[in-house]
This record gives sequence, C-alpha cells and structure tokens, in this order.
Amino acid sequence: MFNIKPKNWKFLAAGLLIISLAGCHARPDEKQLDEWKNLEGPGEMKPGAGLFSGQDGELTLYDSKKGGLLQKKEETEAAKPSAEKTAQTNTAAGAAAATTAGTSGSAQEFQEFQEYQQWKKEKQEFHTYQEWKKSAEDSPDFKEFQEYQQWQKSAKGSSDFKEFQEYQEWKKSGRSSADYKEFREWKEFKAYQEWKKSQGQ
Amino acid sequence: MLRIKIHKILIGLALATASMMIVAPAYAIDFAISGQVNRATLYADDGKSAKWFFVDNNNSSTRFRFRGSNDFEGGWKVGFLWEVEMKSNSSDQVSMSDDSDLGPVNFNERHMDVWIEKWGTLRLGQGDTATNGTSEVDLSGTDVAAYSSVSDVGGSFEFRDGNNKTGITVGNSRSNFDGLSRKDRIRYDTPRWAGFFASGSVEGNSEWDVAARYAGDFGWARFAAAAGWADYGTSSDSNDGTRDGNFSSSASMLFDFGLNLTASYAFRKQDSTDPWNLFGKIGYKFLKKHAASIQYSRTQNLSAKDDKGDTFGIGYVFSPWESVEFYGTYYLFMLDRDEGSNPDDINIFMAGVRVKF
Repeated sequence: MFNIKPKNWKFLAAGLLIISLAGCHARPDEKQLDEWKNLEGPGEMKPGAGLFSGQDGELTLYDSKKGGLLQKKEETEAAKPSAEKTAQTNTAAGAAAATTAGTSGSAQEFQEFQEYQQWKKEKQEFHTYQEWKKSAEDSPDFKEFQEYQQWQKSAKGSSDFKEFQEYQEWKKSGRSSADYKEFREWKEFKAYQEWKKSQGQ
Repeated sequence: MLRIKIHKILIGLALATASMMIVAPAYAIDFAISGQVNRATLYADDGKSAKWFFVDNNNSSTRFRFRGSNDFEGGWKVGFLWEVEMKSNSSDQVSMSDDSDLGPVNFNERHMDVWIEKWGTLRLGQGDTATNGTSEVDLSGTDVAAYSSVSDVGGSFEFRDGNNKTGITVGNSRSNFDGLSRKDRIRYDTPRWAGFFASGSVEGNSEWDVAARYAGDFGWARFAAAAGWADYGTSSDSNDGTRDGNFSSSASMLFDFGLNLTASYAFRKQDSTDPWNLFGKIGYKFLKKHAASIQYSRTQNLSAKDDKGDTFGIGYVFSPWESVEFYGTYYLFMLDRDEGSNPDDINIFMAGVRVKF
C-alpha cells in the first residue's frame, strides 16, 4: 500500500521511538524547552547564571516589575519603609546563611520558606482581627480605630480613584480570586495594624 | 567602519528602550543585556608542523546580546533579540599558514529579531532558521569543549601527505549538516504540547525548512530530540541546482546518575554523492561540577565520493561556579580518501575558559 524506501524506515522508527518515550509518563522538560526558546545550548549562548548578572543570567536595565531604568532590585528594596525592612531582616540573614552553607538554590528555597511563614503569620493575624471586629463592634476600642481611619483618610487626601488604583495594584499582585469586599477588609486590617503600632509607640 | 556600526547599535538601542518606555504597556516590560567571553589556547599538529594559537572558541563564540519584551493586554507579547558576536582568531579560521593574529576583528550579526507571541511565536528578521540546531541536541554538558559540529575547532587546517598539501581542509571533509543555520527569514514556532513543538521558516530564493523538537523528563532521565528538513530552493546553498536540501536529526539522553548518550544523523541530497554524517557521544557528569565525554563521527562523500572524514574527540568541562567553565578538548581528524594516498592525521588540543557575564 505504501511504498516506503528502506532509508525512510529509520525516520519512521525514530519518530515512533520518540512518541513511545513521550508516552512513558514523561513530563515536558521545561528547562530544555526554555533553552531552545532562549537560544541557549550547543553553539549558542551559555545557559544559566552570569558572573555579574547572578542567577538571572542577564543584567536587567529596565524591568517594570522591579523598578525604573537602571534601578536595581536592591534599590527598590531600600525604598521600602523601615518596618518592612525589619521584618525582612531575618529572611535576609537566613538566606545569607543558607548561601554560605550551600548553593544559591537552597538560599532561594529558604527565602521562599521564610516568606511562606510570614504570609501564614499575617493570615493568622488577619483572622484574629476579624474575630476581634465581630466581638468588639460597639466597644470604645473599635470606635477609636474608626476615628483613626477617618483621620488617616483626611490626612492623606484619599480619594475613590486612588483607592481604585490601589485595588488594581493589589489585584495584579496575584489576589485576583478575592472579591472586592475582602480587599476592603484587608485594607481595614492593614490600617488596624498601623493603628496598633501607633498605640504601642 | 567599526565606529559607525557601534553608533548604529547605540542609536538603535536608545530608540528601542525609549519606545518601550513611551508606549504605555498593559503589563511588564523588561530590557536586559547578557553575554559571554570564550577564549582558549589551541595546539595543532598536522604531521608536518605544529603550532600554538590563541583563539576564540567557535563552539560557542564570544558575544553579547540585548533582549527586551513587553506584555500586552489579551496575552500578546512582543519582543526583540539582538545578538552580536566578535571573534578574534576564531578556532575554525586559524591555520598553519596564518600569523599569530588573524587580521581585523568585526562584529558579526547573529540575531536581529523581532518576535510576537500569542498562538505560538512568530519571528521576523535575522536569526535561527527552523532547522538550525537540529543536528546539535546535546545534554552532555561538554558541548563547549566538543560536540557534533567538529569543524568548529580546527576547521581550516589542511591535510598534508608528507610535504604535499592535499587542498582538503578539516572543514570541507566533514560536516554535521545542521540545517540552514541563521538567516534573514520569517519563522513560526507552534505552542508547546506535551513537550513537543514544531517550527517552520521561509528564507529568500524559495528556501524553506521545517523541524520538530521534543524534550521530556522521565524522572530517572531527561531526553531531548530534534529533526528537520531544509529545502535549498534556488539559493546559494543549492550550488547552482546541484543540491536539493538536507535532513538533520539528533537526540540526547541524560540519566539522573550522570551517564549521557548523544547521537546525530544527517545527510544532504546532492547530485550523485549524497554526503552523510553519523555522530555518537558517550558522556558522564560527576561530582556536580565535572562533565567528560568521548565522541566519534564519520562524514562520508563530502570532500569527494567515498571519502571518509572520521573524527575522534574527547571533551572535559569543569564548572567551579555556574558562570565559569574551564574546558579541555582533544580532536583527532582523519581523512580516508577513495582516490590517492591517505594524508596524515591532524591532532588538536584546546584548553580554555568560557565566562558568562
């Protein structure tokens, strides 16, 4: 029926071999596929980290996620409020320790683990706040907190548009599944944290 | 001339950066620079004389690249890639008749590409054709030292028969027939599906090529393979219609305990001769920072019908840090001619370092 030349059987056999290997529960090798996409590998650019560019393997001149033109990630970090920096100190120290002890890969894992712990802690605090809000709705404490919020709004010149922009930013940061009500409550929680901090000072 | 080129590059970059910042993006923009320097010492012995050279390793030459991309609303992504190489004493150009320094050094275009990604990727400009790299899939980790394109190191050394020159070099007696290399073209890559994707590109003068690639991870081993067909059309590759096209293929498997196997098979459809190349490599990655391999390849019918260009190679790579690779290479180039006496073998040793910055 088909007149296949002997030489062509080799290609057919090779094709069948690849397809059968692919069927052996193989996951796509994203690393290799990315190397092909980035034109890295034999004859091409060396894949992986660079001497000055670090793990990224390239010097980023501009990245809208990290900051402005020629702004390094470290500079963006430096612009964060000191309270945030304090919270991150342990993470950085841990990551540095992990880097010294092992590979940069383990340092990243350690940092991710720290971030996960931080997130867990904050989530717990958020639930505590929700409980407190339910139980203390008519209490003088809650009233004071509301007044603080009002004062903060007027002091910062907040507007609906600004809040909408903040919501958009918040949505971009990966919480798109949460509804707007949760966002408002989250904002309220953040204000509550600020208020508690100011009470402690 | 060089200064004008540098000015053009800088102006182009400034325009590209400005346009990316002025045009309001929906999402992320990024613009980055990367590159590598790959220098080596090379010792060659053609049976008559021996000489040292300081070369740029053409297995993966010295170069730098600019890359930028912009994500737009609706899942569209647009970007560019601009890669330029600069080789001083390229390892495939040096020969016994050369001085220690091979003339002027110029920028050489590799990629000047604009791409659009949505349903797959469309690339327009100078860059890889669909078949480029289909003979060169290699997971051994020693490709900077030695891989299927053996004439990238010592390609211009000429075989000698005693005092007589044969007129046949390493480069014109062996090839891995790796598709159409890089050209001005339009290329389309399909989206990935279960580790597969296909590509097609069209160049000038009715030249075109198609290729398919696969990369899978079995947990106990990684496997990658590629194959493609290139049709020369009426381009210069067709050599006035005496060559139709070429088939190229390769596959590589890396087991999790370090052993790796690589093979490549390719041939060119050509009047009366149909030259072909078969390549095999066994390698071992050990202690996380070391990789070693042994390879053998044969190209038949390239320099003349029934001529055999055999190559034995050893490669070793030591990567003390991820961005730095020290390597050593040994090649034994042999030529078995169908007519006339067989010339002397050519021995080449190369040691160098590749640094990505």
